[in-house]
Amino acid sequence: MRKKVKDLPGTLVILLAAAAALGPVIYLFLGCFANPQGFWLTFLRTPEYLYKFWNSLAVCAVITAGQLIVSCMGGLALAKYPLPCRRFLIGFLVIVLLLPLQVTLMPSYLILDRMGLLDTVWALILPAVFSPFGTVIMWMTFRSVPDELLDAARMDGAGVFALLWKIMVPAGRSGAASVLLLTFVDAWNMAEQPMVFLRDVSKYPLSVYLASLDREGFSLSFHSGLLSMLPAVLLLLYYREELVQGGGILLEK
Amino acid sequence: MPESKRSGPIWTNRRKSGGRLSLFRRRRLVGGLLFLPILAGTLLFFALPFCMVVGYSFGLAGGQARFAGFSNYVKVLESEAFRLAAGNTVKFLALGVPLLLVTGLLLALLLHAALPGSRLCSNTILLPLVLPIASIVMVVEWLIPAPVLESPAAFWVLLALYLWKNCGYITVLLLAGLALIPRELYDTAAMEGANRRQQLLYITLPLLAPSLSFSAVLGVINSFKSYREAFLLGGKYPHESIYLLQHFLNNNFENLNYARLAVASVLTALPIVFATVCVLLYQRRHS
Repeated sequence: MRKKVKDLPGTLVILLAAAAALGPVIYLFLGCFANPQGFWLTFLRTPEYLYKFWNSLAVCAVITAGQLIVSCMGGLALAKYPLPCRRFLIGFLVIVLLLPLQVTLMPSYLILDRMGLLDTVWALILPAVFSPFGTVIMWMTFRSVPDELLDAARMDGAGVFALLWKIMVPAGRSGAASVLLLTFVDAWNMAEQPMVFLRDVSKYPLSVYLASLDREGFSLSFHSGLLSMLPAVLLLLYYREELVQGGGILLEK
Repeated sequence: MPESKRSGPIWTNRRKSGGRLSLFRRRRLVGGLLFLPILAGTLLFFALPFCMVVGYSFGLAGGQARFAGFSNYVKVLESEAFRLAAGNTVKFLALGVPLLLVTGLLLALLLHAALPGSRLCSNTILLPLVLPIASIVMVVEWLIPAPVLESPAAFWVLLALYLWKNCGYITVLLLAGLALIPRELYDTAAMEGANRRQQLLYITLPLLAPSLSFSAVLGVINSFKSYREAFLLGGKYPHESIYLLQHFLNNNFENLNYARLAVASVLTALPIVFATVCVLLYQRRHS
């Protein structure tokens, strides 16, 4: 009994945190079902919305896949290959990672303009694919994979890419899943890049389009909000275990 | 090394010298090729733009390129708007990141103790991370009356949003770290008469240090992303308490004030670069 009383404040904090996390989702659900015909209005009468949904999903999928490939390669190089000035390269990646997007906004605009990518989805995709975030995570993940595993595979004559996809990525599954999930969520929520790199408002992805819905569309934005939260929530449910394990990798050095 | 470099392409060299050296060089080549995409990408999309920004800030590029020395810097540093933005950003970071670490650690410790409700909490706590910002802003606008968002309290709303959104992942990270600390350490410490507070200070915190420092890095990165919420809540010119450096940068970009923008970018980046280099050098000395 005494133990239970002692646990009470802790339990309250935990329940409070759960309520804070769940609250907005419940609010969205309630808002949707208070106005059921909104489903019809959002998803069937305005094809524009569904078109944006699939379009944004495709852009995010390309970003996530690209980022994963680049990060696994870079992370493997940093973790298991004798690169010259390795520490310097890691420091460079970390600094780039920490800089807010706006710092290089104007010259990025000029460079993308020079490349003829402005006002196309590639202006959103390419810089996101080459974000150093995944490389840093995969470096930390891969360095905890034992060297013996690699040597054994090399003995069997595995090439570099076989080594990467068949040995390293499965061994570093949790890190890769964390990169996948966090990159996807970040891309799904992007706001600054489309507003600067796209002049054509009709090309805006769902994240910015949703925010631009005005008061009039408010009841509709419940339904669009619910649908737009779906992909990220499904990914989260699917990769939850890996994400949780991924946190532990940082400690094993 | 210089000798082998002169002796021709890598494939002939490999056959001649054989053994370990060639294997090393081959590995280095493969590693370099693996690293090439991310290196080329970050150089093109981040490092090159940054060098251009430095050039612009001294008036070395743009319409009428003329070396301006530090005159642009003086102007920006004197501007009220920049000072306000920089002050708010520093305040946000200085309060946000430590608060994030403390709440994350507290929740992780509570969840680790497996109190009633932990399962529910650990299953839901990541939800804020994946909710679309537009939906979140919708909920905030419903919960918090508009006059509050136009008052100094807006800063605290933004800070609370940042904590709410990022706390889940930090908790999960630290929880995974806690699970790896061997139980025996606590048992031994308890036998030797260490109380809970001492166990936290001398076992948990030192062993969690790598997770905590990684969480701090994530906290800094994500605190810069709070601009999205600030923008969606307040637009281009929000209440002055949440007027951040990113507002300043974005607005100068839209008003074509390139010199001001470049100077502010450099001034934003300098402390970040400086702090990162210091931390990395410190780690190098202590590892």
